[in-house]
Amino acid sequence: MWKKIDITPTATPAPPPESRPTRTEPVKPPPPPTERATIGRSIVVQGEVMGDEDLLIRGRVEGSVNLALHTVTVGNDGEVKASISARVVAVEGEVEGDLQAEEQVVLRSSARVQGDIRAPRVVLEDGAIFRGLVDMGEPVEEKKLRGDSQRERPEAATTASRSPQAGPRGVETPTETMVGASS
Amino acid sequence: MDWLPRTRRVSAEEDGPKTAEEPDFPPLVRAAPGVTAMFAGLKEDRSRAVLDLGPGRGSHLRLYSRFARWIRFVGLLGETPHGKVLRAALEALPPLSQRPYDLVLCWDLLDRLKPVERPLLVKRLAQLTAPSARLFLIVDVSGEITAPPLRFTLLEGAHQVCQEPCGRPRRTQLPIGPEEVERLLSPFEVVYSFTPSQGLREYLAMKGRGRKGIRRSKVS
Repeated sequence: MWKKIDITPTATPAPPPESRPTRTEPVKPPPPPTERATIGRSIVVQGEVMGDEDLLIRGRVEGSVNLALHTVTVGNDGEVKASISARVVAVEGEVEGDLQAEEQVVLRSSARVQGDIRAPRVVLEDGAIFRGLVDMGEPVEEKKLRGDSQRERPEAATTASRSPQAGPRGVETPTETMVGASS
Repeated sequence: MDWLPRTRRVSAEEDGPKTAEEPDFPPLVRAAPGVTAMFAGLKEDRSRAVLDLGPGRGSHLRLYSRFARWIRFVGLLGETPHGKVLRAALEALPPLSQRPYDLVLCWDLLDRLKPVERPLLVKRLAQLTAPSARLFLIVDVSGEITAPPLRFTLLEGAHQVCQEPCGRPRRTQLPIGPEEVERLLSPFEVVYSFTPSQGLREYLAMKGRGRKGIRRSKVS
Protein backbone atom coordinates (compact mmCIF):
# COMPACT_ATOMS: atom_id res chain seq x y z
CA MET A 1 0.00 0.00 0.00
CA TRP A 2 2.70 2.40 0.94
CA LYS A 3 5.55 2.95 -1.38
CA LYS A 4 8.83 2.64 0.23
CA ILE A 5 10.93 5.74 -0.09
CA ASP A 6 14.58 5.30 -0.26
CA ILE A 7 16.55 8.07 1.28
CA THR A 8 19.64 8.56 -0.69
CA PRO A 9 22.42 10.96 0.04
CA THR A 10 22.32 14.13 -1.99
CA ALA A 11 25.11 16.06 -3.54
CA THR A 12 25.08 18.50 -0.68
CA PRO A 13 28.11 17.85 1.44
CA ALA A 14 27.32 16.92 4.94
CA PRO A 15 28.57 19.20 7.68
CA PRO A 16 31.58 18.06 9.54
CA PRO A 17 30.73 15.56 12.22
CA GLU A 18 32.00 17.72 15.02
CA SER A 19 29.40 20.37 14.27
CA ARG A 20 26.43 18.04 14.48
CA PRO A 21 24.62 18.04 17.75
CA THR A 22 24.35 14.68 19.25
CA ARG A 23 22.10 13.33 21.91
CA THR A 24 24.92 13.22 24.35
CA GLU A 25 25.80 16.87 23.92
CA PRO A 26 23.81 19.37 25.97
CA VAL A 27 21.75 21.69 23.79
CA LYS A 28 22.68 25.29 24.37
CA PRO A 29 19.57 27.09 25.67
CA PRO A 30 18.47 30.31 24.06
CA PRO A 31 19.49 33.46 25.85
CA PRO A 32 17.14 34.02 28.74
CA PRO A 33 14.76 36.93 28.53
CA THR A 34 15.41 39.86 30.75
CA GLU A 35 14.31 38.96 34.20
CA ARG A 36 11.34 40.88 35.40
CA ALA A 37 9.53 40.52 38.64
CA THR A 38 5.82 41.15 38.84
CA ILE A 39 3.70 42.47 41.63
CA GLY A 40 0.37 40.92 40.81
CA ARG A 41 -3.01 42.52 40.84
CA SER A 42 -3.98 41.28 44.26
CA ILE A 43 -0.67 42.10 45.89
CA VAL A 44 -0.30 45.08 48.20
CA VAL A 45 3.18 46.18 49.16
CA GLN A 46 3.81 48.71 51.89
CA GLY A 47 7.39 49.76 52.36
CA GLU A 48 10.54 49.95 50.30
CA VAL A 49 10.90 47.88 47.17
CA MET A 50 14.50 47.23 46.07
CA GLY A 51 16.12 44.72 43.78
CA ASP A 52 18.28 43.91 40.81
CA GLU A 53 15.83 43.19 38.03
CA ASP A 54 13.05 44.89 36.14
CA LEU A 55 9.72 45.23 37.85
CA LEU A 56 6.15 45.24 36.64
CA ILE A 57 3.64 46.60 39.11
CA ARG A 58 0.09 45.44 38.55
CA GLY A 59 -0.96 45.66 42.16
CA ARG A 60 -0.64 48.35 44.77
CA VAL A 61 2.55 49.77 46.20
CA GLU A 62 2.86 52.32 48.96
CA GLY A 63 6.26 53.54 50.07
CA SER A 64 9.16 53.71 47.65
CA VAL A 65 10.53 51.78 44.70
CA ASN A 66 14.25 51.90 44.04
CA LEU A 67 15.65 49.91 41.12
CA ALA A 68 18.35 52.24 39.95
CA LEU A 69 19.67 50.05 37.11
CA HIS A 70 16.41 48.66 35.85
CA THR A 71 13.03 49.40 34.38
CA VAL A 72 9.96 49.90 36.50
CA THR A 73 6.63 49.59 34.74
CA VAL A 74 3.38 50.52 36.41
CA GLY A 75 0.80 48.51 34.51
CA ASN A 76 -2.74 49.50 33.68
CA ASP A 77 -3.98 48.01 36.91
CA GLY A 78 -1.16 49.35 38.99
CA GLU A 79 -1.72 51.87 41.77
CA VAL A 80 1.39 53.37 43.24
CA LYS A 81 1.59 55.85 46.08
CA ALA A 82 5.31 55.96 46.20
CA SER A 83 8.38 57.61 44.80
CA ILE A 84 9.96 55.57 42.03
CA SER A 85 13.64 55.69 41.17
CA ALA A 86 14.91 53.60 38.27
CA ARG A 87 16.78 53.67 35.01
CA VAL A 88 13.54 53.81 33.05
CA VAL A 89 10.07 54.40 34.47
CA ALA A 90 7.03 53.60 32.37
CA VAL A 91 3.54 54.33 33.65
CA GLU A 92 0.28 53.00 32.31
CA GLY A 93 -1.68 53.15 35.54
CA GLU A 94 -1.88 55.54 38.48
CA VAL A 95 1.01 57.04 40.36
CA GLU A 96 0.95 59.52 43.18
CA GLY A 97 4.55 60.31 43.91
CA ASP A 98 7.76 61.48 42.37
CA LEU A 99 9.38 59.70 39.43
CA GLN A 100 13.12 59.82 38.91
CA ALA A 101 14.89 58.07 36.05
CA GLU A 102 18.44 57.91 34.80
CA GLU A 103 17.30 57.59 31.19
CA GLN A 104 13.67 58.42 30.69
CA VAL A 105 10.17 58.53 32.05
CA VAL A 106 7.33 57.40 29.83
CA LEU A 107 3.71 58.26 30.60
CA ARG A 108 1.45 56.18 28.39
CA SER A 109 -1.91 57.43 27.24
CA SER A 110 -3.68 55.69 30.10
CA ALA A 111 -1.36 57.07 32.77
CA ARG A 112 -2.56 59.26 35.59
CA VAL A 113 0.33 60.79 37.46
CA GLN A 114 0.54 63.40 40.16
CA GLY A 115 4.05 64.16 41.25
CA ASP A 116 7.34 65.52 40.07
CA ILE A 117 9.36 63.96 37.26
CA ARG A 118 13.12 64.18 37.08
CA ALA A 119 14.67 62.60 34.01
CA PRO A 120 16.76 63.65 31.01
CA ARG A 121 13.97 62.49 28.72
CA VAL A 122 10.25 62.57 29.26
CA VAL A 123 7.61 61.00 27.02
CA LEU A 124 4.08 62.22 27.53
CA GLU A 125 1.58 60.50 25.31
CA ASP A 126 -1.68 62.09 24.31
CA GLY A 127 -4.32 61.19 26.83
CA ALA A 128 -1.99 60.93 29.77
CA ILE A 129 -3.05 62.98 32.76
CA PHE A 130 -0.18 64.64 34.55
CA ARG A 131 0.08 67.27 37.22
CA GLY A 132 3.42 68.20 38.60
CA LEU A 133 6.85 69.45 37.77
CA VAL A 134 9.07 68.18 35.00
CA ASP A 135 12.79 68.72 35.56
CA MET A 136 14.91 67.57 32.65
CA GLY A 137 18.31 68.34 34.02
CA GLU A 138 21.00 70.77 33.09
CA PRO A 139 20.53 73.07 30.13
CA VAL A 140 22.20 71.97 26.94
CA GLU A 141 25.73 73.36 26.84
CA GLU A 142 25.87 73.44 23.09
CA LYS A 143 23.25 76.13 23.05
CA LYS A 144 25.55 78.40 25.01
CA LEU A 145 28.23 78.06 22.37
CA ARG A 146 26.11 79.96 19.90
CA GLY A 147 26.95 83.09 21.81
CA ASP A 148 23.76 84.86 21.03
CA SER A 149 24.06 87.95 23.18
CA GLN A 150 20.98 89.63 21.84
CA ARG A 151 18.76 90.80 24.62
CA GLU A 152 15.65 88.73 24.91
CA ARG A 153 12.47 90.56 24.14
CA PRO A 154 9.04 89.55 22.96
CA GLU A 155 8.45 90.00 19.30
CA ALA A 156 5.39 90.05 17.16
CA ALA A 157 3.96 86.71 16.29
CA THR A 158 4.89 87.06 12.67
CA THR A 159 8.58 87.38 13.50
CA ALA A 160 8.98 83.87 14.84
CA SER A 161 11.18 82.07 12.38
CA ARG A 162 11.88 78.68 13.88
CA SER A 163 10.08 75.69 12.52
CA PRO A 164 7.27 75.03 14.96
CA GLN A 165 7.42 71.30 14.48
CA ALA A 166 10.96 70.88 15.54
CA GLY A 167 11.38 69.81 19.11
CA PRO A 168 14.64 70.09 20.98
CA ARG A 169 15.76 66.72 19.66
CA GLY A 170 13.52 66.39 16.67
CA VAL A 171 11.90 63.25 17.99
CA GLU A 172 8.21 63.41 17.51
CA THR A 173 5.19 61.43 16.48
CA PRO A 174 1.61 62.61 16.18
CA THR A 175 0.60 60.92 19.39
CA GLU A 176 3.76 60.92 21.36
CA THR A 177 6.23 63.46 22.53
CA MET A 178 9.76 62.83 23.63
CA VAL A 179 11.72 65.68 24.95
CA GLY A 180 14.93 65.95 26.84
CA ALA A 181 18.66 66.04 26.69
CA SER A 182 20.60 64.58 23.84
CA SER A 183 22.13 61.20 24.35
CA MET B 1 -18.18 85.95 12.62
CA ASP B 2 -16.08 82.88 12.93
CA TRP B 3 -16.65 82.86 16.63
CA LEU B 4 -20.43 82.44 16.29
CA PRO B 5 -20.39 78.65 16.09
CA ARG B 6 -18.63 78.55 19.41
CA THR B 7 -20.94 80.88 21.23
CA ARG B 8 -24.66 81.23 21.59
CA ARG B 9 -26.78 83.88 23.20
CA VAL B 10 -29.30 82.42 25.60
CA SER B 11 -31.37 83.62 28.48
CA ALA B 12 -30.66 82.65 32.05
CA GLU B 13 -33.46 80.09 31.94
CA GLU B 14 -31.65 78.19 29.26
CA ASP B 15 -28.54 77.84 31.31
CA GLY B 16 -29.20 74.23 32.13
CA PRO B 17 -28.08 70.82 31.06
CA LYS B 18 -27.29 70.37 27.45
CA THR B 19 -30.16 69.01 25.39
CA ALA B 20 -30.10 66.98 22.25
CA GLU B 21 -31.20 69.98 20.19
CA GLU B 22 -28.21 72.05 21.16
CA PRO B 23 -25.50 72.16 18.56
CA ASP B 24 -22.20 70.55 19.16
CA PHE B 25 -19.04 72.62 19.29
CA PRO B 26 -16.50 70.97 17.07
CA PRO B 27 -12.81 71.43 17.73
CA LEU B 28 -11.43 74.52 16.11
CA VAL B 29 -7.86 74.90 14.92
CA ARG B 30 -6.68 78.47 14.78
CA ALA B 31 -3.57 80.56 15.00
CA ALA B 32 -2.10 81.19 18.42
CA PRO B 33 -0.46 84.60 18.07
CA GLY B 34 -0.27 85.18 21.79
CA VAL B 35 1.64 81.98 22.42
CA THR B 36 3.87 82.69 19.47
CA ALA B 37 4.66 86.15 20.78
CA MET B 38 5.33 84.76 24.22
CA PHE B 39 8.13 82.51 23.04
CA ALA B 40 9.42 84.74 20.25
CA GLY B 41 12.87 86.11 20.88
CA LEU B 42 13.71 83.65 23.63
CA LYS B 43 16.92 81.71 23.37
CA GLU B 44 16.43 77.97 23.36
CA ASP B 45 18.86 77.37 26.17
CA ARG B 46 16.47 75.56 28.50
CA SER B 47 17.36 77.85 31.33
CA ARG B 48 13.87 78.98 32.32
CA ALA B 49 10.97 77.81 34.38
CA VAL B 50 7.45 77.49 32.96
CA LEU B 51 4.21 77.45 34.89
CA ASP B 52 1.24 76.13 32.94
CA LEU B 53 -2.04 76.37 34.81
CA GLY B 54 -3.56 73.81 32.48
CA PRO B 55 -3.09 70.06 32.47
CA GLY B 56 0.03 68.35 31.19
CA ARG B 57 0.10 67.80 27.45
CA GLY B 58 2.75 66.30 25.27
CA SER B 59 2.75 69.05 22.68
CA HIS B 60 3.01 71.69 25.37
CA LEU B 61 5.88 69.89 27.02
CA ARG B 62 7.64 69.71 23.69
CA LEU B 63 7.39 73.43 23.17
CA TYR B 64 8.28 74.44 26.70
CA SER B 65 11.27 72.14 26.87
CA ARG B 66 12.94 74.10 24.10
CA PHE B 67 13.18 77.04 26.43
CA ALA B 68 12.88 75.71 29.95
CA ARG B 69 14.35 73.13 32.21
CA TRP B 70 11.58 73.29 34.80
CA ILE B 71 8.01 72.88 33.64
CA ARG B 72 5.11 72.69 36.01
CA PHE B 73 1.60 71.67 34.98
CA VAL B 74 -0.96 72.66 37.56
CA GLY B 75 -4.21 71.47 36.01
CA LEU B 76 -6.45 74.17 37.47
CA LEU B 77 -8.60 74.29 34.37
CA GLY B 78 -10.22 70.88 34.61
CA GLU B 79 -12.48 71.55 37.57
CA THR B 80 -11.84 75.19 38.24
CA PRO B 81 -11.95 75.72 42.00
CA HIS B 82 -13.73 78.63 43.61
CA GLY B 83 -13.85 80.29 47.00
CA LYS B 84 -11.86 78.64 49.74
CA VAL B 85 -10.86 75.82 47.46
CA LEU B 86 -9.39 78.28 45.00
CA ARG B 87 -7.54 80.13 47.76
CA ALA B 88 -6.12 76.87 48.98
CA ALA B 89 -5.16 75.84 45.46
CA LEU B 90 -3.41 79.13 44.84
CA GLU B 91 -1.59 78.96 48.14
CA ALA B 92 -0.57 75.42 47.30
CA LEU B 93 0.99 76.49 44.03
CA PRO B 94 4.55 75.57 44.80
CA PRO B 95 7.36 77.96 44.04
CA LEU B 96 10.42 76.49 42.48
CA SER B 97 13.33 76.18 44.83
CA GLN B 98 15.74 76.83 41.96
CA ARG B 99 14.27 80.02 40.54
CA PRO B 100 10.98 81.88 40.08
CA TYR B 101 8.87 81.16 37.07
CA ASP B 102 9.75 83.01 33.88
CA LEU B 103 6.82 82.06 31.70
CA VAL B 104 3.23 81.59 32.85
CA LEU B 105 0.40 80.27 30.71
CA CYS B 106 -2.90 81.13 32.26
CA TRP B 107 -5.09 80.15 29.28
CA ASP B 108 -8.70 81.13 30.00
CA LEU B 109 -8.57 80.69 33.75
CA LEU B 110 -9.32 84.35 34.38
CA ASP B 111 -12.65 83.96 32.60
CA ARG B 112 -13.56 80.98 34.70
CA LEU B 113 -13.06 82.77 37.99
CA LYS B 114 -15.55 85.02 39.69
CA PRO B 115 -14.63 88.70 39.54
CA VAL B 116 -13.63 88.80 43.21
CA GLU B 117 -11.32 85.84 42.70
CA ARG B 118 -9.38 87.20 39.78
CA PRO B 119 -7.06 89.48 41.78
CA LEU B 120 -6.14 86.52 43.98
CA LEU B 121 -4.81 84.65 41.00
CA VAL B 122 -2.79 87.58 39.69
CA LYS B 123 -1.41 88.34 43.14
CA ARG B 124 -0.24 84.77 43.57
CA LEU B 125 1.31 84.71 40.11
CA ALA B 126 3.15 87.92 40.90
CA GLN B 127 4.62 86.27 43.97
CA LEU B 128 5.81 83.24 42.05
CA THR B 129 7.34 84.90 39.01
CA ALA B 130 10.62 86.51 38.10
CA PRO B 131 10.91 90.29 37.65
CA SER B 132 10.70 90.06 33.86
CA ALA B 133 8.28 87.16 33.65
CA ARG B 134 5.85 86.80 30.78
CA LEU B 135 2.18 85.99 31.24
CA PHE B 136 -0.13 84.63 28.57
CA LEU B 137 -3.87 84.54 28.94
CA ILE B 138 -7.05 84.27 26.91
CA VAL B 139 -10.17 86.30 27.58
CA ASP B 140 -13.62 85.78 26.12
CA VAL B 141 -14.85 88.98 24.48
CA SER B 142 -17.97 87.67 22.82
CA GLY B 143 -20.51 89.14 25.22
CA GLU B 144 -23.10 87.75 27.60
CA ILE B 145 -23.20 84.14 26.55
CA THR B 146 -23.00 80.61 27.58
CA ALA B 147 -20.15 78.63 26.20
CA PRO B 148 -18.53 75.32 26.98
CA PRO B 149 -15.28 75.40 28.88
CA LEU B 150 -12.52 75.09 26.36
CA ARG B 151 -9.49 72.90 26.23
CA PHE B 152 -6.48 74.27 24.39
CA THR B 153 -3.90 72.07 22.77
CA LEU B 154 -0.91 73.48 20.97
CA LEU B 155 -0.52 71.81 17.60
CA GLU B 156 2.39 73.29 15.73
CA GLY B 157 4.78 74.53 18.30
CA ALA B 158 3.67 78.00 19.27
CA HIS B 159 1.81 78.79 16.09
CA GLN B 160 -1.45 76.86 16.16
CA VAL B 161 -3.84 75.80 18.86
CA CYS B 162 -6.81 73.47 18.83
CA GLN B 163 -9.61 74.64 21.06
CA GLU B 164 -12.37 72.21 21.85
CA PRO B 165 -15.13 72.03 24.41
CA CYS B 166 -14.48 69.92 27.47
CA GLY B 167 -17.80 70.10 29.26
CA ARG B 168 -21.36 71.23 28.94
CA PRO B 169 -22.00 74.89 28.12
CA ARG B 170 -22.32 77.16 31.09
CA ARG B 171 -23.00 80.78 31.69
CA THR B 172 -19.92 82.88 31.48
CA GLN B 173 -18.97 85.91 33.52
CA LEU B 174 -19.30 89.36 32.05
CA PRO B 175 -16.59 89.92 29.49
CA ILE B 176 -13.43 91.59 30.69
CA GLY B 177 -12.52 94.62 28.63
CA PRO B 178 -8.97 95.54 27.72
CA GLU B 179 -8.76 98.26 30.35
CA GLU B 180 -10.05 95.90 32.99
CA VAL B 181 -7.50 93.30 31.96
CA GLU B 182 -4.68 95.83 32.26
CA ARG B 183 -5.90 96.85 35.69
CA LEU B 184 -6.31 93.27 36.83
CA LEU B 185 -2.91 92.15 35.66
CA SER B 186 -0.87 94.70 37.57
CA PRO B 187 2.10 94.36 38.24
CA PHE B 188 2.11 92.71 34.82
CA GLU B 189 1.89 95.11 31.91
CA VAL B 190 0.12 94.17 28.72
CA VAL B 191 2.56 94.32 25.82
CA TYR B 192 0.52 92.60 23.13
CA SER B 193 -3.09 91.73 22.59
CA PHE B 194 -4.48 89.75 19.73
CA THR B 195 -7.97 89.01 18.50
CA PRO B 196 -7.80 85.78 16.56
CA SER B 197 -11.44 86.17 15.39
CA GLN B 198 -12.99 83.50 17.57
CA GLY B 199 -14.57 85.73 20.15
CA LEU B 200 -11.44 85.43 22.20
CA ARG B 201 -8.64 87.85 22.88
CA GLU B 202 -5.14 86.74 23.71
CA TYR B 203 -2.93 88.84 25.92
CA LEU B 204 0.77 88.80 26.55
CA ALA B 205 1.90 90.71 29.59
CA MET B 206 5.30 91.29 31.11
CA LYS B 207 6.18 91.94 34.68
CA GLY B 208 8.00 95.16 35.45
CA ARG B 209 7.59 96.56 31.98
CA GLY B 210 7.08 100.28 31.38
CA ARG B 211 4.00 101.49 29.64
CA LYS B 212 6.08 102.75 26.77
CA GLY B 213 6.35 99.19 25.59
CA ILE B 214 2.64 98.65 25.24
CA ARG B 215 1.71 97.64 21.78
CA ARG B 216 -1.43 96.07 20.53
CA SER B 217 -1.87 94.02 17.44
CA LYS B 218 -4.88 92.51 15.82
CA VAL B 219 -4.42 89.25 14.03
CA SER B 220 -7.24 87.86 11.97
